[in-house]
Amino acid sequence: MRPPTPAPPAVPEPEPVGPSELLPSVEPPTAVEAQPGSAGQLFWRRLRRHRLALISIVVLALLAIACFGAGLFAPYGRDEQNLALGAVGPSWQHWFGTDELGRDQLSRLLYAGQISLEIGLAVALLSTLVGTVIGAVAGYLGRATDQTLMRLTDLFLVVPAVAVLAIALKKFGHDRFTIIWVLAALFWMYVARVVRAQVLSIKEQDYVEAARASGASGAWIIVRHVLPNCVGPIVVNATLSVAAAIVAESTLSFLGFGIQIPATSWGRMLADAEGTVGTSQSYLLYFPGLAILLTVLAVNFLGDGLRDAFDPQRGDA
Amino acid sequence: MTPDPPLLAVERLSVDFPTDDGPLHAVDGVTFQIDEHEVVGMVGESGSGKTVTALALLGLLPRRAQIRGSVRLRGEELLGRPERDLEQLRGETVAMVFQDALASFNPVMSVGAQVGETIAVHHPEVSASARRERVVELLELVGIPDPAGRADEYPHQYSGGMRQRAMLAMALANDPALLVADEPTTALDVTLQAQVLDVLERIRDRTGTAILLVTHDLGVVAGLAERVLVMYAGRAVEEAPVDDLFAAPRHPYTLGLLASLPRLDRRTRGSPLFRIPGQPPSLVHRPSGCAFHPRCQFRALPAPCATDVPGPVEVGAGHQAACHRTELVADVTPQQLAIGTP
Amino acid sequence: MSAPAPAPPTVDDSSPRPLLEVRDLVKDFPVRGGFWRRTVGRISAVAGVSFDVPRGETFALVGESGCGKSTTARLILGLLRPTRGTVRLDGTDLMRARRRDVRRLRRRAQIVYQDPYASLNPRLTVGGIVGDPLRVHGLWADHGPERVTAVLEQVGLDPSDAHRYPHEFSGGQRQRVGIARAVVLQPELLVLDEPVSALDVSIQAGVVNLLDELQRLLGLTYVLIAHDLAVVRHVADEVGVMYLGKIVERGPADQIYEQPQHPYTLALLSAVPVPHPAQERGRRRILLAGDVPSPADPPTGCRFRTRCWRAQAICGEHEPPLETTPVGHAVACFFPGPEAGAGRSPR
Repeated sequence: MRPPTPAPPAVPEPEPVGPSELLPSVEPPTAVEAQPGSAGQLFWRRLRRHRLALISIVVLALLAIACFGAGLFAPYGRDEQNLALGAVGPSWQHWFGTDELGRDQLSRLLYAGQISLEIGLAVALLSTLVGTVIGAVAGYLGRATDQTLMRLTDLFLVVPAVAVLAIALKKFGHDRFTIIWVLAALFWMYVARVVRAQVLSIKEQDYVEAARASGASGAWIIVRHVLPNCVGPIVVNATLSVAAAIVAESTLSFLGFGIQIPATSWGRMLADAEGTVGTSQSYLLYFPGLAILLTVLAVNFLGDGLRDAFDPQRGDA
Repeated sequence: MTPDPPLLAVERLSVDFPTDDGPLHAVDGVTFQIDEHEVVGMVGESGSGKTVTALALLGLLPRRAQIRGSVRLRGEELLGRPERDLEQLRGETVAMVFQDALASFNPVMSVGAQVGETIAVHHPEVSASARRERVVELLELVGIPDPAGRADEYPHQYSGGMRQRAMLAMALANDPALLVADEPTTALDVTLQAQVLDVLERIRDRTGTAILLVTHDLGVVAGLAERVLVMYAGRAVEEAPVDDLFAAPRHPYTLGLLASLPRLDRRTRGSPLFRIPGQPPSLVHRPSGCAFHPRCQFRALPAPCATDVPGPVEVGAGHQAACHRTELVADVTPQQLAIGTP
Repeated sequence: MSAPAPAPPTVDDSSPRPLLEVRDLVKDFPVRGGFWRRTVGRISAVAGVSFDVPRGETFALVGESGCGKSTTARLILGLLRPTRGTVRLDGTDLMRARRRDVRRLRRRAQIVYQDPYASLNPRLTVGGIVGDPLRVHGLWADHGPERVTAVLEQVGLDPSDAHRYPHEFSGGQRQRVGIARAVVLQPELLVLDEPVSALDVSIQAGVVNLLDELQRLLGLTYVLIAHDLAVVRHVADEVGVMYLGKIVERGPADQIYEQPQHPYTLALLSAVPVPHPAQERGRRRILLAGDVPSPADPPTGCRFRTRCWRAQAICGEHEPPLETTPVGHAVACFFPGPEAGAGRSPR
């Protein structure tokens, strides 16, 4: 058993602050010198150090270009059938093989990627926007407004997601716009909570009070002082929700509630390949699965990198 | 016959922290010693390296710290010792108290039990009753009234001042040879500071424990220390008996520091305070030569002040200053600087 | 317990009206508890504070944590609404002012904060921070950039650094930025909330000198909140010592320091270490017993009596009024006097 030595003060990770003139209680003894540049420039510098994140950016960029440029890059049409060929494994003419209708899987994968990525991005953007507004208003105004909005958030959280999705899609159709709206409606609450927490803590900062003291209105303060300081967690959250949305869409489509033929998404392709595990046609399953996996991993690594880049005080690497 | 080794002998201690821009020289070539029963004050502002030095003594620096030099406790080298050995020493021979150690109290254990725990760990052979006796003795030493009764109370039943005292009692439980107190009064209210100073005085007067008092507060050092070491930019710039340091400092930094203090006991309103121009230097890109020279009014440029790092110069009995221009500094007192007559 | 009659503030009748007049200021914070979050108690953070500050002078409020000085500062600026009492800025009652007048009044009183790290928006450039008040009041169009440049120079910063961000500056420089922001609107009153306590000792002198110089240059009136009694002595013309929401002693700075009367003031002054070895060694510090009582449940009668070595029965029955004593300044005590008396007795 260790003797009860008083805990030594944590010697924190060096942070970019100027030559320190502050008393020890405020300043860590191992502060790094100030690095010139805006918060933005510092951010890029820190991001560049995160190799996985950089690789992820490249991967995602390539993926996006390939999918959205499917018209240019895909060797075959999305629905181009070759019934005579049938299902054939990967070969030189069809890198990812074909399905039983002879459709080239690589091309289908690229076109499907358009839908999946689009849904992922749109859901992230929409839910972030809604969540930020609600979270910021709740956090800043507090009291009754905060209570009301948070109860509303709780309400959305409590709802069983899959059930609601299924019903909504049945009622409003299976096109991707409906999917986007419905998924966004199920994601915004997480953003709202994060933003609210951020706003609550920033609200207490002296510089916010200084703005009030100089006569600024609430709206001015939120826009000019509070939100810019929330950017970090918001962006990280938004990035991660892209991955979540893609997975959600895939799940939906796999279960049959999502994208319907003739449109296709990666999830849809998974659904179509159901039952091929263990057979010679399992490649129909693996390629879309790998695409999803790759995207989600890349997005997550990017999210990690962004989080570290925004907030350097994250302990020892 | 060889004299006993000093209690603590620090020789050319250097601590560097790696950063993206190069090593941060937190401590550079610090040499000093503490004898048994001595009270030594180590003063400096933030970035001076005093806290890092204190942490280095007990091996409490993070792994990325690059430490060189020697720290010998009663002749035995401490740097590089395995953690287990250091754990043995901590709380037994050397005790350390930090700035706000209220968090070191477990709310569900009585104060007496916690103070006694240190004893139990290092001396399991001591009986429970002997331990209890010692605990009561310690509480009385630090000035807690009705120590026998209070020993069984819980931390929340103690006032803030008493908790500070009890914290010191814990540190003294095994009668350490050296107590390192890192900023014991900073961030405390004035009346609470008074309590802490009271305990430190009692410790100084009634036990044989040597004390290394690390602080930025010159008033605290004036009242408690016998000898003072002044740190700047990671280096020891002056060392002197306390009266000499305050009356006749021989390093421009010490001189400037003393001159810039507003006084409680004197009317200084109306005239500007003396200020040391400029700012403390970057510890990554230090000025060449003497680290203080960019701010020094006595400097000789370019040589030697901007080219040679000054070594310690003997300027009096037990009084050293790391400066090339100590003779010039001798002509000026802090009072003169403060009221503007050079 | 009825509020005691306030002591006449130390103002000369023949001189013009004080810039700031605070009368019987009270601020209670509700304590909510229980399932329905009812108000179960009150924290009287400020319990009847009165003082005047003549134009161009510095009034310092000193006291330890929890005494209510920061709350008082916020009440003066209208950042908090008082529960009772009045704050008059140049004769105008802040709380009764119309909404549009409030904005204009805001320009006349500003605040400087303690923590140079938390007081500046990390996402704005220094120029943006200092210029923000101008923009808020629609004054940016009227030579905004020049004003920012001028004020940066006044506080001793290089205007060409205006495009830099707060984290690129040292603590002392950031504090100067905070001061620049506070004076850019050319206010008349500046509330300084511990302006130098978070700075290194050798940097404090520079900032203190700056505040002095700005006061002379711009004709500013200061309300200084501080706990460092040495700095206060250097800067303040008049001092109010606060304890648990009340002013216990108030008067000209020199008198307070040289002839303190209230036991709490005596304790405070005796506790500050002085950088003079011989003097410091010879001092006997007064050690106060116990802790500061909770502001939610203050002692009856004199709030300081639980820690006071002079306390007697009357102290628990009646609250001592803040009255001028023969020495020349106001003290709230039934047994004011200079000697320390009992000395060490931690309870």
